[in-house]
Amino acid sequence: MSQYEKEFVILLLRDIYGDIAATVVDTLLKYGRLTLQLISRYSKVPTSTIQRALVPLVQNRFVLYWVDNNAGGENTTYVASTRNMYNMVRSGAFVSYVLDRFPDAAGAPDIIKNLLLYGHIRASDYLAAQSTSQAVVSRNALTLLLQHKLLTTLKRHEFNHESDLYMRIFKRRLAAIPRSKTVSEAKREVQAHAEAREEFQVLKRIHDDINDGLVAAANTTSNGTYGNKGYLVSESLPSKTVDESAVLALNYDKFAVLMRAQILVQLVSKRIGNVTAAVYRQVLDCMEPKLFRCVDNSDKAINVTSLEILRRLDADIELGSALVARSSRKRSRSSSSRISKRQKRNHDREGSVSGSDDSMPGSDNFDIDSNRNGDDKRGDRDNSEHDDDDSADDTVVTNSRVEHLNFHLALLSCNQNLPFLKKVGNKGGGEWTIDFGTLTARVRELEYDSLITQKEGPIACRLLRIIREKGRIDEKQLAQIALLPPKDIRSHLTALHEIGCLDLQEVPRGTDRAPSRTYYFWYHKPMGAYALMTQAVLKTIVRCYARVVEERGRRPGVMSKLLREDVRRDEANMLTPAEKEEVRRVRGVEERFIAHMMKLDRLVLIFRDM
Amino acid sequence: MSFRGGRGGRLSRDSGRPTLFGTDIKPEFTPSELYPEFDLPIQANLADFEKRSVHQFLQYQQDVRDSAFYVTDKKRGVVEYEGGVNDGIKRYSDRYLTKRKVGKSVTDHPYIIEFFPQELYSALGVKPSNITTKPKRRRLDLAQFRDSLEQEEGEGEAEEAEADGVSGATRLDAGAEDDEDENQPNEDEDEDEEEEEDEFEEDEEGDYNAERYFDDGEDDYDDGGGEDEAAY
Repeated sequence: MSQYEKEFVILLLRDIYGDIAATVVDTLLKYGRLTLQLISRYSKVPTSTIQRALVPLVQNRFVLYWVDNNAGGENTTYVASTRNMYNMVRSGAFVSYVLDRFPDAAGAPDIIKNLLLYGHIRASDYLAAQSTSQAVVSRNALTLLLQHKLLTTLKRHEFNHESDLYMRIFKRRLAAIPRSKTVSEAKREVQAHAEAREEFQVLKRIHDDINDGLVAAANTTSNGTYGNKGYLVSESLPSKTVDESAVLALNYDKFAVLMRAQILVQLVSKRIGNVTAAVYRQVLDCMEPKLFRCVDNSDKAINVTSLEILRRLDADIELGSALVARSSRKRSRSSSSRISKRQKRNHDREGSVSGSDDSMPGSDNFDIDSNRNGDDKRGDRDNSEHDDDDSADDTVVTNSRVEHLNFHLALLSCNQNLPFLKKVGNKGGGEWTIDFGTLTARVRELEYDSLITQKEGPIACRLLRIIREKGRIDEKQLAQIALLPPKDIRSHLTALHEIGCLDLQEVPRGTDRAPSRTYYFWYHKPMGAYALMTQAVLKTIVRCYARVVEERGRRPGVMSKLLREDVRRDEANMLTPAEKEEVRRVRGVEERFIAHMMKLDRLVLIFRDM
Repeated sequence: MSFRGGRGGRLSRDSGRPTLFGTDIKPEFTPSELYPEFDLPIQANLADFEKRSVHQFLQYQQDVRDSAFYVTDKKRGVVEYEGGVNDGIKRYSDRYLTKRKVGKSVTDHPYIIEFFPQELYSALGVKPSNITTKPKRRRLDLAQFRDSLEQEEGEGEAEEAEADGVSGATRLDAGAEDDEDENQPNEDEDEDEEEEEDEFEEDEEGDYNAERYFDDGEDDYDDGGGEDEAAY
């Protein structure tokens, strides 16, 4: 909740939901929690209009409410929730993502669009509003989206603000602990807080259940595995369908997880290679059902085995194409030449030689790892379900798909600085996990470095990296380490200081604070720096959208003409060439600025939500 | 605070004002330019995914504008952009404005009233007597997903085909669809405003429909009594 986020949210609301909705939210953001009468008083809008405007706001959960049942009668207060409103920016990306991810589910994009429009819909209402043929398609799409948790069910408490819910739980817990002489009041409160926190966590995670919003399908004619009376013929799990009484809404937390996965895969493909990035995407896909939100996911660690990854990996991906055979001491000469010839052929076929060149950062580790994995593979070969297509020659490292996969996984885990994966065990061909905490911290550092490079130049970025590593360092030492003259770096340091990247700590040498007798240490505080950068990004987003609105406002004639019903139907004939040119310009401006907003939103996701 | 102890303190070797580190940074006191030279980076061409996302975002905005949830006091489409004039004069183009359908208001949507505070029940169209009884079933008015990147064709709204209680609310697109047949019976339930429009467009589109405007003088027999007066 910052100044620019509030501005942005009000701008969006004014443009999308109308100016009265924007006024109501503006009042709520200025004054905090208000009742209906107070909103009316501060905004000078009549109560009935505010009620009308509050309906879509409450529906989309942009404004949360709390009903206070005390002796004086019912009292409803409203609070604006900028986090939910900010998610409007991601609405376009959500629909596009669903389109890409589920190309076969015909009803899926419609569902997302309607949920964007209406906030939440009861499943039975949605299915009833369509024809029977459409309803079947929609039902399948709903089930699919629910299983992937892109949709979530809504309960009543999700329309209340977190702090209100917590206070209610806390009061209940406090009342449950009996007063006694031995336990002081403060201790009671501490205990009540601890219990309340636990209960609150459980409350926040009630949608993590795998069957949330789903019920077992009754004997359906469309499902082939069911027999006559509806009992299962095959031994697979009973299929699920959407629960008709459930109220569905979009799950932006899950969408943030998916966006994070995309960002990580892009980073891998930039740093290591395309094939390895495809493997990493598969790893993340395997983990996806258990990842419900970016931060504070769940307490258990999520492990994936190599065999599972291999099973789900796309058969088209040439795992071996990006790898160069290491000459191992164990190999016989004839087989090594045979293998190297095969690898040469693969090199020529695929263009991803570059992937192999910079895929050997920790080459010693890799060698050891590959040998160790080779040993494991030989041991597991009897148990593995996949047959290797090479002859059983134990001394030769074979080029089977499992081996290649393990090479790639080893690549992902060998870099201590940027640990995409971590190996935790050996069963199932190797167990892997991702430590999202350290990984995302590192991703933030990299992203911040690139932003600083753009803003201040590569020298400033180098200085930042040195300071980050050293903690607190003064100018003279910094100049020594960076091999730059002190006068040069001073301007860079002050520039970084201005944008909030660095801070100064003064340590006086004597009792007087003469500047020549104090040490000045530069240091970098990551969270503060990222917060300031996020503010700058939000400010840019505000400016982008304000510009879009302004560009539309500069051409009122054409824009109001575009709203006409007959023009909407047939733009080609209804507009003059000059108007068409103006429309083309405005549309171009809209497209560029909104696409830019989405790119900036990616930065906000990295620094704030990931 | 930064200059504390510097001004009156010991002299340093460097010239220039004393600063934090010593005295060799010379601060500039000339006013900086209002718009300094800046190398604007040029935006790269948009990827396909980005173009589609932008399109969907604009569609979402249009959908909400067209729905009942866009709450504004101004007459829509006219004063929306500052150039429009709200002077009460009836214009020809008014009939092409996005009309708020008579039956369509915020109350037409099937709300889940448990999720709303009681204060807002009146705005939802729920009367206190209705709360315990099952409310009248209302149908959702669904938005349809349009894939085309051309916003002109995509925005065929056809709110004409939708009225309260009609099932299968799909929008008439400029392009043909399979369920156009379903929409035929819906046209009977169109509102009067639409029929009025259709009357005019029966024969020919546009204003210059000669047959409609031709007046062959057969009806002008009422002036028979006024012929005695001289025409000036």
